[in-house]
Amino acid sequence: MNLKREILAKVHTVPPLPEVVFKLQKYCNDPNVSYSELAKVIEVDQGLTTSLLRLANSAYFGCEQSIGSVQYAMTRLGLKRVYQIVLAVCVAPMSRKPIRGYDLAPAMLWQHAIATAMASEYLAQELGGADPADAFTAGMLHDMGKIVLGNFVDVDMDKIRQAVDRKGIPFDEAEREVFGTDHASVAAALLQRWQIPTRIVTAVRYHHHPSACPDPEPLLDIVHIADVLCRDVGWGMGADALLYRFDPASAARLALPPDIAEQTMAEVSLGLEGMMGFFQTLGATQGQPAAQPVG
Amino acid sequence: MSALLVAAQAQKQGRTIVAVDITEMAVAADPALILVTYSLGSCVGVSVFDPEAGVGGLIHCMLPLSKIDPRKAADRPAMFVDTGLPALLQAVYDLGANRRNLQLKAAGGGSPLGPDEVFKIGQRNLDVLGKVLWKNGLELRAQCVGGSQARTLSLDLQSGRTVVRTDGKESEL
Repeated sequence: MNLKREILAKVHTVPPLPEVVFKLQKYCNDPNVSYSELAKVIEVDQGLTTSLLRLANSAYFGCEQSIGSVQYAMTRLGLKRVYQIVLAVCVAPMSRKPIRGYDLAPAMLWQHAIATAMASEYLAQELGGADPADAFTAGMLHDMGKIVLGNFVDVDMDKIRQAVDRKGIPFDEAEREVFGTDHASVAAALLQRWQIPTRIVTAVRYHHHPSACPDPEPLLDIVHIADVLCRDVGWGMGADALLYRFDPASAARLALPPDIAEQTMAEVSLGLEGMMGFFQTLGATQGQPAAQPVG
Repeated sequence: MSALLVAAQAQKQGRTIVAVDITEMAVAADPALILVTYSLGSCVGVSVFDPEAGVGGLIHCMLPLSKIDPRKAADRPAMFVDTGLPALLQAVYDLGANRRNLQLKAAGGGSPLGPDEVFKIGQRNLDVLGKVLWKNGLELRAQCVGGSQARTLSLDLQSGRTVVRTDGKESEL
């Protein structure tokens, strides 16, 4: 059989996200939701509450005034921001582990996720056309398929390398040749299982080639460009290195102003270290297992 | 990627690894040190060594020109090639390196596959590197640049040996 079916079956072995994520997602756009009721949903989880408040007070998410309660975090940062932070706290432990196949050392997938999230949000703010909050979320989740596909890549790396070297095709195309699917499609399947909103799933599915989507929204192009830039810089770079193709129509659709790529890279580089530091301390407080070296 | 392996190897030999992060640089005159920088994509890493003075340095620059954000360049000159390389050279001179002894090597400046990428950050990093060197009357002794690989660049301050690692394979520059 077919490796693709085996891979998709593996997607269903990834743990579901905690209920609180769905509740926040559901109420994000509900003007009538009670913040005090919603805050209680988070507060039953002591670890989550601690992590949320820490991140809410970090330089990137936070503000001058310190945030001492979940409800105040919602009022000060907005529900969407709180949703993002909770999602980040839930997803981080999975993407902090080393990823075989892609040869990503501990925390490298997460570094790429957070860098791409920040770059996507910055581009959405600068260019318009997409909700910066959606851009952050899609950027953060775009490579989660590697968690599942990594073990398969590990087994078949020689075949993938041969396809890349001999035919000069990009890494994702080689994945499709060998597996019948690629890490972007696997990520989309995983996010569907996690009930992530469709617009974000679509941006993730097409993040290497937005023009393949029949009707690409700016969110797709933004996540693509952000991924390209963060990969170029080397944030969370693994065995697939820069072995991808750029979708030039993406840049044309967004009508990118001059210097935007460099502005984005400079901006992200200043905030990234702090963000990674914050997530590291969360790992320590949540009693995550110590990182293992790549095998 | 192979950071842990490198560190383990170095420890066995009683050496100390100094990791140079992106947008940073390090200079030293301590033969116990090995300077390393990881994950060079479109960024450019430059090593400099004066074997007589035993002084060396390593920098990991992200972007070509500081004019896009002079404030960030003032805070972090190593972010940009045009401010970073002069800062690196000045720092090794301050430690006693002599310009005529300098051995300069570079790695990085990569780009995604195909001709379509519009930003050309890697190529522009290399162009600006060439210009800064030319202004200083200096030349690269060796380089491993371009392509779509991720690279690690290290400089051994005892021997001056400069090594590039790509896809788990090491080669001396």
